[in-house]
Amino acid sequence: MILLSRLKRLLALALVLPFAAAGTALAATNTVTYAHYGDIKDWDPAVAFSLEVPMLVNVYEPLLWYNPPEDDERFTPALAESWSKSEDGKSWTFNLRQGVKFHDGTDFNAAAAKASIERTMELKQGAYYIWSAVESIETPDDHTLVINTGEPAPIDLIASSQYGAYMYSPAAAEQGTDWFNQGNAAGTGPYHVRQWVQGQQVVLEKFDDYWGGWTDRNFDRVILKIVTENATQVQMLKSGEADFISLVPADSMESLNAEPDLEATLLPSWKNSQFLINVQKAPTDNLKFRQALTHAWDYESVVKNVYAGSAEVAAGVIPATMWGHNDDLATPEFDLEKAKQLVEESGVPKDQRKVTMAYIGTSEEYKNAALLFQENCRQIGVEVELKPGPWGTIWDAAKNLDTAPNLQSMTWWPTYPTPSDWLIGLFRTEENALFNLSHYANPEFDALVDKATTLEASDREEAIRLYGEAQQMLIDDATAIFYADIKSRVARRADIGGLRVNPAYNAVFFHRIHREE
Amino acid sequence: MSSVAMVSEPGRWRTAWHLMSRNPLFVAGVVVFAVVIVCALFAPWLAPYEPNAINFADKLVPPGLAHPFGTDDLGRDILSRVIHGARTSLVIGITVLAIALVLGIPIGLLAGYYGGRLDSLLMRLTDVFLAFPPLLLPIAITAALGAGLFNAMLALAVSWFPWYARIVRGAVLRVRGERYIDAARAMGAKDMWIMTRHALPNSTTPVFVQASMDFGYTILAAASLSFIGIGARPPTIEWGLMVALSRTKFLDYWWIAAFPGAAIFFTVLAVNLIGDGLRDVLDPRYRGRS
Amino acid sequence: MARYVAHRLLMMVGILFGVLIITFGLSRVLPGSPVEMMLGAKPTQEQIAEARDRLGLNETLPEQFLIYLKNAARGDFGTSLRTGQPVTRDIANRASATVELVVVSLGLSLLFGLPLGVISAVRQDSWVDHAARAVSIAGVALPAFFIGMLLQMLFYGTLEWLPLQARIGAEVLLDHPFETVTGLYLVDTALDGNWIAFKSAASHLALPVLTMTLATIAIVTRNARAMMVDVLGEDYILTSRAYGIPARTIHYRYALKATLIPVLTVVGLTFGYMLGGSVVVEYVFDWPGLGGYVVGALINNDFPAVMGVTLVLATAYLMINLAVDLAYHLVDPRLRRS
Repeated sequence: MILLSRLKRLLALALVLPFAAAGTALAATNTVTYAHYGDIKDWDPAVAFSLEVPMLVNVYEPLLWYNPPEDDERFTPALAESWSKSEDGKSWTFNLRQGVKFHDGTDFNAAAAKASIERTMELKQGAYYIWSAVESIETPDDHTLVINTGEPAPIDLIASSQYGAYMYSPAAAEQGTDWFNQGNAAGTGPYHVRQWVQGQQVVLEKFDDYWGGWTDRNFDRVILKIVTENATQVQMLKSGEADFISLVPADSMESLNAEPDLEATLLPSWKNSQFLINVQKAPTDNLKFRQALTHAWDYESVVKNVYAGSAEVAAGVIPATMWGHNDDLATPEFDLEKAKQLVEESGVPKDQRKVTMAYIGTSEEYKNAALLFQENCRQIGVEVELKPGPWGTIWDAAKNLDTAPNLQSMTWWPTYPTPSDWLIGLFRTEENALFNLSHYANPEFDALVDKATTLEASDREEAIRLYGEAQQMLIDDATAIFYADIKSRVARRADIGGLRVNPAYNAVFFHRIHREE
Repeated sequence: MSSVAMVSEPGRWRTAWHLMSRNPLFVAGVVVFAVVIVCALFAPWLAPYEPNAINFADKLVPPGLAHPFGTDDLGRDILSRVIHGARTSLVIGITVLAIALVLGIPIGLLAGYYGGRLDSLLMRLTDVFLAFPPLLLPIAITAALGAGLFNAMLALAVSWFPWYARIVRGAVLRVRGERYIDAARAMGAKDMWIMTRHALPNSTTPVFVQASMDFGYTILAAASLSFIGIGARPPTIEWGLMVALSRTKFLDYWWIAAFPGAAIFFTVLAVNLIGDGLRDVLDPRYRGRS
Repeated sequence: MARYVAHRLLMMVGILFGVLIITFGLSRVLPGSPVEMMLGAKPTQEQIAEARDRLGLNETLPEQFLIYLKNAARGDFGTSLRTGQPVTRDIANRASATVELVVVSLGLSLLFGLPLGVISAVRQDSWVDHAARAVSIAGVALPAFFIGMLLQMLFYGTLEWLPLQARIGAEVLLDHPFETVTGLYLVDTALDGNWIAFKSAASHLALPVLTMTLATIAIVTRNARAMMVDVLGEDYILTSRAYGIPARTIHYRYALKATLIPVLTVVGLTFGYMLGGSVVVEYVFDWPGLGGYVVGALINNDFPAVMGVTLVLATAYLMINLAVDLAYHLVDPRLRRS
């Protein structure tokens, strides 16, 4: 009978139900909703190396945070309160914060820190390589961690990496990567993971015992909504379903700012975009042909129109605002006549002047830049076949020479801020390609970069000079169309305050922002 | 139905045309479809702009004098793209039906003419292909062959041919027992000859009617496949793909989705009206049923 | 009856077997090796060996098919490349969203389409008839994705009445959780007496359902009209008319009753269209069901997932048609003899 009466109520309701609950505007003041453009793939902080940063920086903490470039201090203490290095730069001592607990109740201490780093190194996944200089880790007492390296290495910088440097509970680590991948986490950060609905949302909630403490202004709850389409993100922001969005189409910046309660901003970043040219696959194994492609790219128009001004024309592989950038580099000029001539000189037969171009299909910028390039290439007699797809798919295809495209979209940002991150990550010879999707293999280049890297801690000037040479080499070999230094576009409800930009991390630190009354 | 073979085909068609021309919906369909055909044939001359030409200075312009249908996010003229899109759609309709006929007619002929085990085997085969809900078999096939317009057309044809096999089989069955077939056989005519000269012509009308109905559906289905990303690819201009590419912006700029969407609607509508008109007249069994 | 059921069952098994041959065939004509399609571009040696073993690629083709059958019968469609989960688990997680969408849409489509078709048959050439014919001709000419986008423009963009996408509000799911009994949010929230969640679920369901209904109502109307016209031409109806039985009684008692039986056929047909349509509609509305899953899988070259869903939906379609046939047979005694 109860069921029946409920059914009756149900029917009655179905008839009168006013479908007027558009935004489901329930947003309590202590919840912040962030539209993120991809689901968390790897929950294991030792493995994560992709779109996980907005979760990672709020759930986990490293020993140090890297500060925005305008700050006087380079680092902010996180789980280490202070640190020092030995004379020879091969031994680093960190004094750890005391009384810190992981979300699962385990204590954070020197043993836990050692275990975290060692497990990350042993798993050999994600960004484990940042620790490659480490030879041994000692724990003289419960809150002192000593890291010894074979060669001098910038461990302070490494310890602030946005991937691979997070401290996690040893008890959780014991349960393994599979346990993490069910949507579990155990860090020391201000938020713990409350819920993960795969492909839909991640909900973070206030960790009561957070060492940094809580005030009334802090958000108690963070919803990471997974929304892969930028138009949807914009609509959600407008309707109030989201407070913060991470994928703002360049075209929408203006219309968003026109609304009084919204704010769209350009943030400096160390992100840059390039189309990597496969140097081993015909016809782009031909240098002249590759050069032709770099001249068929309309750099100004892409930056001005496709990115609507939210990018600068790039000069080489390193962002111009990053230390170590070679300011003497010249961007190839957009010149279809020259491109045509180079195509002719290349000797590639007419019927083989055909290249494939892969990019992330949901990105308006890639899509429009690719269509523009396709049209320009048509004018120089080169056919461009577009291959849009999700990152995972096109990445897998690009790693393997058989399935790789001639041109591969890439947007890079540093794991930790050093020029070598781009030079090594994107172009150093790899036996099994990971990010060197140009499949570039040049021993001379490798030697140059390796030498510069070891000099980074001791002779910075010389390191910068060598880095500069390496950047020129990449232009000379036409290994990529380096086209844009990106300014991050974010948009938020205007009442969100306390936002500080840090190009070292692609994320918002939710504990540090608040809603203005 | 045996009388069908007796009446000369051209005469029948003339009568049919006379009947149809009095059906205003049919005439409207013919007019609209003629416009589509003209667009397809003369696209380069009719289109005011180069359909793929990118012009950022004029992007997302609302419909107006310079651009009657407005422009998209790359400043491409939507009217020109819609006109060129007619080509793709007609090519899709023709190709899919042609492949479906090439597959379906022989199977239907063989099944109907020989009957028996071969018949049940072939008909169970068509049952299997019809066991998939619409769109799913094409999806599975393109998943295996790879995305792209040609594979999508092939996949659609493979999921369409069973209908033709069945129609042809039905028509052949109706004439199989006829005396003139027996007579032909008695005179030593080869099976092949009987099938193509006597059995096949009997099925042309129902096949033609079905094809005229299906033409619209194939365009729709292909647009759906393009929409979910496994059909046409740029620089091919296809209406479903145009709508798909507008998805990120259509809430703010309605015209980038509305015109290609409307083009699909009117074309398919016109084809369906023509199909309905043809069926009412040529296939008396359906007369009076919508 | 029992013999008929057995016969039909046997036929269905036969067709299912054919369906499996097709999906098996597709998985073997792939460009590139099936293993690569199953595992992505960069599998490890162990993964390759394991997969070759599981798929039986070292055996002959018939033996491979047997292994394929065995795996399918166990509900083992492999692991999704995109989610990393067994395809069967993914399907189980998402099926209820599709069921809810299809069942509600089917109900509405029949609720409005059948009367429209019947009335237009009874009153041929009246304005209702013309309207119904217009609906049935125009309705099949509009692509479902376009209907969905038009509705989004109107109800989300212009009127701001209904949400754009998703199945339920994020906050609602968190603050007003409900027990998942059936997986159908409308039913679960109602049983729970959780009206806030019910309202959220209903408002999210509205546009996808409306899209599906509009896309299929033409088929229902068209078929209902055709069947009613047929029935009205039957001898016994004409006889009744000759006996002077009031037209109303003839139409709505005798004729309608007779049409109710073939209506089952319409249900089966419409159900098939809805399964196909769900692919497009779920994609437009980001609906977390099987259709959206299959599109995501297509974009990601997630072959095992595509094939798993194809098989499951084809089987569901076959079963519905079987059920329709059996019900038909049960209701209409005339068919029992034939």
